Amino acid sequence: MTDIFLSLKVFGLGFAISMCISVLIKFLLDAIKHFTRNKEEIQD
Amino acid sequence: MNILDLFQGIGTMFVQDPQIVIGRIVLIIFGILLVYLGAKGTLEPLIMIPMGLGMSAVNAGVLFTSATTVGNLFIDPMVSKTDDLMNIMQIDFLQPIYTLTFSNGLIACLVFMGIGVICDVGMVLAHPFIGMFIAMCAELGTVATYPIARLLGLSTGEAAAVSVIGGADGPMVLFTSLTLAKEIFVPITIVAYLYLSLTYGLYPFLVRFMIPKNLRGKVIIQKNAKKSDRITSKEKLVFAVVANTLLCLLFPVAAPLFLSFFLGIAIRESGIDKYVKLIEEVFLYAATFFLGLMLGVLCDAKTILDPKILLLLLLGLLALLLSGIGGILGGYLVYFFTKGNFNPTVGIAGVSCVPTTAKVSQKEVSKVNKMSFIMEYALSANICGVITTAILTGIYITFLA
Repeated sequence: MTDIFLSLKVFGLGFAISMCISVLIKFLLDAIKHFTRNKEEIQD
Repeated sequence: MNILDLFQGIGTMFVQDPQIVIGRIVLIIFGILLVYLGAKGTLEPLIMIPMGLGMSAVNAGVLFTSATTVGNLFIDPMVSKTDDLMNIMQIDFLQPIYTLTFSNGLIACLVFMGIGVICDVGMVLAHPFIGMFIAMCAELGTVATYPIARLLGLSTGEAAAVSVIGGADGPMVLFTSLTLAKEIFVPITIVAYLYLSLTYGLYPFLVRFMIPKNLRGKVIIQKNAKKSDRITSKEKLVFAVVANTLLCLLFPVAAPLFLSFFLGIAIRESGIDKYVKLIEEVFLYAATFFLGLMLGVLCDAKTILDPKILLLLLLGLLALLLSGIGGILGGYLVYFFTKGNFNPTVGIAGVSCVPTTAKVSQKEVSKVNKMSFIMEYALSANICGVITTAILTGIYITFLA
């Protein structure tokens, strides 16, 4: 039973961290776009 | 003169255990079958042709290395002592390649560099949520194999190391084994690379079994694509530099892979044509060739039928099978979330065997519908798979070390 709980814990924590990383990737891409383009290009 | 001493490949069959002899004959035939399937295009020819020939040759070319022992002149993956290793490197012609490029993950890094050079990171990272979700679903084997391995008597460290095979990332498996179960490092090195052949051979059939033809050919329609969504070369270069540093900082266990991948991207986006050519035409193909050949010669009946390796191999196979199923189920979930505007075949690419699973998914889709291109989604899930495997490896080590 302990082993199944450990698996579930690993998956749950892994899922939460993965989703945070995907937000980070999106944020990073948007930040790079923001700093390397002028306003008209972003609104386009 | 004994004729069997002259033709030792046959002669050794009379002194080995019957099960090894049967294993050798089966693997010789299987190797020939792989060459046939590779040449026919059913399985990936770049890997299958060298692999099949290597498999047949290593099981046929067995000879007496002393009066009582048998071996081959290809490779001895079980050798670990430094003196023995130096000795065997001067005899077995593929041993230097295995010891100096496989055991330390260099070959995987070269493949990653090649992937970085040939793939467009803008397309890959355009769908981070979908990619990461599918990749996480494709970690089913990484978590579900752990309790099964424990049930079969493996220690917590060994069970974690063999479970990480479900992430299909050789270097990560080796790192987990080094940290948590050093005693199985040598056998798990073999299994960690043998899994690759399973992904090439098993996944196309799993895809065909789990996904009906009409869904396999589904075209993903890009909605609301804006001009500003396009990412320029300069932005991709900045992204590669920042993301490489950040991901290495967060997941040092996968740092060599991240460096190799982002280095490839930086070289591509900087427009250094000479390096692009070197990595794409030399590094990538050389690595793929040796990968195939090495996988073949590792399939020696004596090695595979070693009870310790056999158990790890079976658990590894189970982990990969579960991961493949998890990935496809993840693909189905995205298909339902997006109200049918998704191809569930992308799910198999969540298993982070870069770029094998992405190629498998695109190939299976193209067989049904030549106008359906899912490569950007598949590569996105593939790269995200590397990240999720690194995350789960880190968590296992944190919990169990």
